[in-house]
Amino acid sequence: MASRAIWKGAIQLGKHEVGVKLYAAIQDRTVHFRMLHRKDDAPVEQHIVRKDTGKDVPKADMRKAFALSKTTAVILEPEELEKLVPPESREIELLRFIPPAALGDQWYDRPYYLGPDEDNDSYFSLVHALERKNVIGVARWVMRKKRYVGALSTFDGYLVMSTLRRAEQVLSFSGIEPAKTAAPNANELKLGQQLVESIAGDFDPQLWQNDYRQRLDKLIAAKARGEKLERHVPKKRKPQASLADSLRASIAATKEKKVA
Amino acid sequence: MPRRKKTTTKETPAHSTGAAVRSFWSGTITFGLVSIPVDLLSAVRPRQTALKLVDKDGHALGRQYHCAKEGKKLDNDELVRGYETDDGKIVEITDEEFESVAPEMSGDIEMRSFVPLEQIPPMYFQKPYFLAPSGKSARAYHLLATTMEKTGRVGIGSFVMRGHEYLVAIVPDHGVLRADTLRYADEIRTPEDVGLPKRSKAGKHAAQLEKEIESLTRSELDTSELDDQEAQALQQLVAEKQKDSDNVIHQSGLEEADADAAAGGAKVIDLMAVLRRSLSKNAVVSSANSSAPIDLAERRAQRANAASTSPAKRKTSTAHRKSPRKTTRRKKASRA
Amino acid sequence: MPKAKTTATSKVDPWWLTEGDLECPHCGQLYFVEVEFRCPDCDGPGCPHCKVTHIEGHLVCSGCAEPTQQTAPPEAPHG
Repeated sequence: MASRAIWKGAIQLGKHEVGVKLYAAIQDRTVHFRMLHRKDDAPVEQHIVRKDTGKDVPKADMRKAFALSKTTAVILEPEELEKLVPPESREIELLRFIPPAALGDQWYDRPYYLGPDEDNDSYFSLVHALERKNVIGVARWVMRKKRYVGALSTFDGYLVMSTLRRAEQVLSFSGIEPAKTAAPNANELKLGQQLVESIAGDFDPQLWQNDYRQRLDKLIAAKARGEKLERHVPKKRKPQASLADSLRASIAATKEKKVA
Repeated sequence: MPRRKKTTTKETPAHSTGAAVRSFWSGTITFGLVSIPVDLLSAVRPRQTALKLVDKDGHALGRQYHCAKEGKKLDNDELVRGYETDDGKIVEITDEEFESVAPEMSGDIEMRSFVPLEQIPPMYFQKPYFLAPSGKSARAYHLLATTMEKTGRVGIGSFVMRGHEYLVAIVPDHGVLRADTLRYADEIRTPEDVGLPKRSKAGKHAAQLEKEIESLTRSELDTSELDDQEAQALQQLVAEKQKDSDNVIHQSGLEEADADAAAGGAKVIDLMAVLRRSLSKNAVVSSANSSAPIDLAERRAQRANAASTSPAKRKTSTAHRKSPRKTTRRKKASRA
Repeated sequence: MPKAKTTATSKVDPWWLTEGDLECPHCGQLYFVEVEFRCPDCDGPGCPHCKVTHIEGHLVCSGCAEPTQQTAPPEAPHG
C-alpha cells in the first residue's frame, strides 16, 4: 500500500532547509460509473465539437480563450500561456505562522502528507517544533507548472500540507440579525441548548460509515447476478408542531434512547 | 433522478448584488423533532483562471457524446449509467434504482451528534456549502445557529446528493449555517498506508526551528497571501491583448447553449438576495479578499449563470472586521 | 450538444447529463465533483473523459502521460 511520492520539495525556514516528499493523503472510495449507450451497453466517448454546428474540431484547430463576457473572449496562444508558467522550483516558502483557530475550515482544500527526504533529523525537528508552538504555517510553492498555497501543520507525528482555497473563492458574511418575528425567545433558546447537549458527544470518525456506498455495491452485485433487491421504505415524517413543543418532546425522547 | 423539492420563490433577481451561486439540493435539517427546510448553495467561487475551449476562429466548443462502437452522436435519452464488476461484466443501473438504494437519505440531514468543532482535524474537511432557510423556517434556523455558537458544537449528519452520500458538519458562520462535507475515515490514509518512516523523537534542530517559527508568527491570517497569483498574471495578459480590439472575438450561439445548460435543473440564485429574503434583511456577502476584480468575477459567475440576461453590476464589497467571538480553538477569521 | 428538455411533459435531464460546476483543466468542459478523475501520479483533477493510459498501464491525466507514449483509451482525450 506504500505510495510513490508526487513531488519533492524543500521547506525554507531562515537558514534551515528541510527536504520533504509529498504524498497523497486521500484514498478514493467512490464507486465510479461509466456512461453507456442504452442500446447495447457500448462505451460512450466524448467529442469536442463546435457548439453551433455540432461538427467535430481537430485538435490542431483548438485554442484556449479567456471569456470577457457571455459573447466576447480573447484567444490566448500557446506561446503566450507558456510565458505565464512559473519558473520551476523545489522551494516551499513559509510566509507566516498563525494559530490554528485563525484559519477557518472553509479554506482547506486537499491534504497531503510530507515525508522526509533523506534527512530524518531535520524533518522530525520541524515536526516537534511545530507541535510545541501549536501553529500552522502559510506556505507557497510551485509544483508541476502550477502555483499552490497551503497550510503546513502536523498530524499524528508527521507533517501535513493542505492546499488552500484562494482569497477570491471564499465567501464570508456579516449583518445576519434575525427579524423580530424570527428571533427565538429565551425559552426556546434554553430548550434548544438542552436538546443540543442531549445529543452531544466527541468527534469519533469511526462512528460514521458511508451506508449508501455499501448499499450501492450490494445493488450492483445483485443486479450482476440477475437478482432484485428490496426497496428501502422511507420513514414518514410527522407534521411539525410548534418549535417549543418539538424541542420539549425531542428532549424527552432523547432521555430515553441514545441518539448516536 | 435526484429528488428535488419544488420551490417557486427563487427567481434570479434583475441584477447580481453579490455572489451568484447555484442551489444543488434542497432538504431538511432535523434534530429531534425540529425540522428546518433548507436549500444547499455553493460556498466556493470558482477561480478566475479557467479558460474556455474555442476553435481558431473563436467559435465556442462544447462536448458531445458518441457511441464508441457505432461512431454516431447520441441524444441524452440514449445514455445510461453502468458499472463494471470485478469480473469485467457491465451492469446498468437506472436513475430509479439509484433512488431506491436510499430514499430516506436524500431529503433529510439528521443531526446525529453535536461535537466540539475543534475536535475535527482539518484533514477531514472537504467542501463548504451554505444553507439558506426555505419556507418559514427562519426561527428554527436562527435557533440552531445561535445554540451551536453558544455551545461551540457543530452538528454531524449525512445526506445523499448526486448519487453520493456525504458526511457533513453543520457549522455556524456569523449567523449563517454552513454544511461542510467531511471525508469518511476510510478515505483518509494513515502514515502507515503511505509508507512513511517510523516516528522519531529525534530532533536536534527543533529549538532553532522554534525560534525561526516564532519570528514569523502572527496572530491573524493575511488573506492577501492567499491571492490568486495565477489569476492576476492571466488578467494582466488578457488586459494587454484586449487593447488591440482585433484580438477580441465575438461569439454567437453562446446564449442558447448556456440556457440549455442552466435548464438542466440547478437553480442559479443570488446568495445575498436569498439571505436577505429568507434570513436577514441586512445580510452582506463578500469574498475574503475585497480587492478582487469584481467585474471579471461577476462576468465569470454570469457565464455559468445563463439564466441571467442583464449585465453585471459592480458589487460594493466593504471590509468587515468581526468583533472577537468566544475563544474556541477554531475561530472563523473572516476579514473581508 | 446535450440539450435539456424542460417541457411540462418531458423530464429534466439527470444531474450526470448536466453541466457541472468544475472546469476540467484538460478539455475545459464542466463536470461535477462526483465524476472527477484524480490522477494517481500528480493528484490533479480532471473530468472522466480526459484520462489516458500511461505506458506502464495505469490511467493518468494527459499531463502525466508522456506525449510519445500516449495510447488511445476508449474515451478519447481532448484539449
